[in-house]
Amino acid sequence: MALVAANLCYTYAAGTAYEVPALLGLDVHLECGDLLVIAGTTGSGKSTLLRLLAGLLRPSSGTVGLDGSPASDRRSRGRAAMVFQNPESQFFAESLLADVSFGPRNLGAQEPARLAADALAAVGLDPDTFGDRSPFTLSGGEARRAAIAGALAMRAPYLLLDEPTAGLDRRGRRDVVLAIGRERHRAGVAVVTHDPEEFLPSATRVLALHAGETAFAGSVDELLANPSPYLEAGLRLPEVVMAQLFARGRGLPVGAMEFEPEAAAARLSHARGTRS
Amino acid sequence: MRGPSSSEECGLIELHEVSVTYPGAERPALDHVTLSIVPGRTLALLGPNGSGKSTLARLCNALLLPTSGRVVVDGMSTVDEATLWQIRARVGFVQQNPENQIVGTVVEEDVAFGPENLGVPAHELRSRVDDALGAVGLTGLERREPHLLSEGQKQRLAIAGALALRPAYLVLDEPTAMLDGEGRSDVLAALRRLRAHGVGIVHITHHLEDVIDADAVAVLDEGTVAFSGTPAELLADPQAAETLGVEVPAIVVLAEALREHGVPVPRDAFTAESVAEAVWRS
Repeated sequence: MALVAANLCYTYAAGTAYEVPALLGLDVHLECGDLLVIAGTTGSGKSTLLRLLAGLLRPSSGTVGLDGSPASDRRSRGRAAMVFQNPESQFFAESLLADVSFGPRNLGAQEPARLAADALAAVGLDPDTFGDRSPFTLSGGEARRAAIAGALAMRAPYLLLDEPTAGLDRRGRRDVVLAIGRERHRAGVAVVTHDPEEFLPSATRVLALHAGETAFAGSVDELLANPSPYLEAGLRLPEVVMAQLFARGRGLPVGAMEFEPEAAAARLSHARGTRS
Repeated sequence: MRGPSSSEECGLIELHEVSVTYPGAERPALDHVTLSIVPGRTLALLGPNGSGKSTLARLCNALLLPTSGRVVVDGMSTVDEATLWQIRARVGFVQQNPENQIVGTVVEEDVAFGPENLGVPAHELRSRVDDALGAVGLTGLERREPHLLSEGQKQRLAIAGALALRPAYLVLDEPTAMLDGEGRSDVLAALRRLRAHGVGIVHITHHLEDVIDADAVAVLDEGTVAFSGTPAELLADPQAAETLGVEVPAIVVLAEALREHGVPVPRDAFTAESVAEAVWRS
């Protein structure tokens, strides 16, 4: 059981004078328990890739399969839930509970209201406080989390999120990262972001895109061991990691990289003590 | 870029004991806030979502009027309808999402839209557009269609649109939130140039990294000013800053932890390179 894309290519306006190749030969494998970080600068093709994985676009060549069926097939309906950039622009119902329960209700789920309440709680919005609120009265951070709850409520086995933390404050980002992390026990999660800082420590795989091609694909450990292709794709690693990379570049024996500042400080001060 | 058109007027945006309560809200969005915004200086506004930052921004050019207290722009009160358009011309406003701010079909038309609407004569329009595009580093892209620009370029286009009105002040509400690393550093560089040319800047952000060289920082918390000082003063006590909801950059936490390990990292080391350098040299 997996979401598998093989040799995926996509060209916008194919066959016209305006055709723009957006993706060239990408491979993706996502299964339950995974957190796949798809990183890339603006225009690298990462949102196009996510739409292909969700079955919203058909590949120009290559395949996307959801548990053995094509992603655009009817049988795949409801199996990959996608959260778009600025999902808060998609609210329509009078109450948050009605809005979040729309997806599961539409898919014929039992107890859509309970699924909606659980999803709201999962993103840190108490359903008793927020359930009756109009989605149009929420703050920016609340609205984003509510929109993500709409996708969580569908209980899809694959969750595809486009820039879920952009524009949120630290608390909002932490709530979103935790909520997404909790979904991994029952879903495969792919997150598209230009700023993967929060997601890297818990990512199982990283796919970095540059101009529609794979600049890096591998585990976080592999990324930190050889960060050049990732950095050359215009992406940044967290400053704490960059400090360790610079220190290593200076010849200090830093060893494995740490994401947490305290652990990084211990490692750097140890490296400083052991150099010859 | 120039400051106010008549330089003898004392340039300053003053917020004096300003409160704003939205209709139906239980508590004020801003509660007795006093601040000033000075030409040629950057005021960074920090604070969590819902702390009143955007409300404050909208007060500066009379998009919103205070429930009580006064907002005075270069001597003109924002409640005075007679000077409303003078205030709007003086205080430019740039929002988070560049897509919502672009109206022209090509770059130069977009920048000309504001001054053209205010009746700026054609010969002056050209120089205003050229100056504004130059200030944000978009010279050469005059005939480009906005949708073909990168996100960072779009946001700089939005800033150029505000600059074409020759504002003395620019208020930016999270101008880098939607941008990737490269777009972000380009916008920050453009803002530094504007400050050097005398524009007073209010920069609202969640990222202290973006405003580490600001002249002043105000931290809002539930509508009140919880801290007012310089970035270095704010970071002198990282724990206190965190308590205020400020996102202390991880690199500052790393520097602090290294000092606790006995590594002499200077207090003004705010980049990965300078911290690594300090470790290497010690």
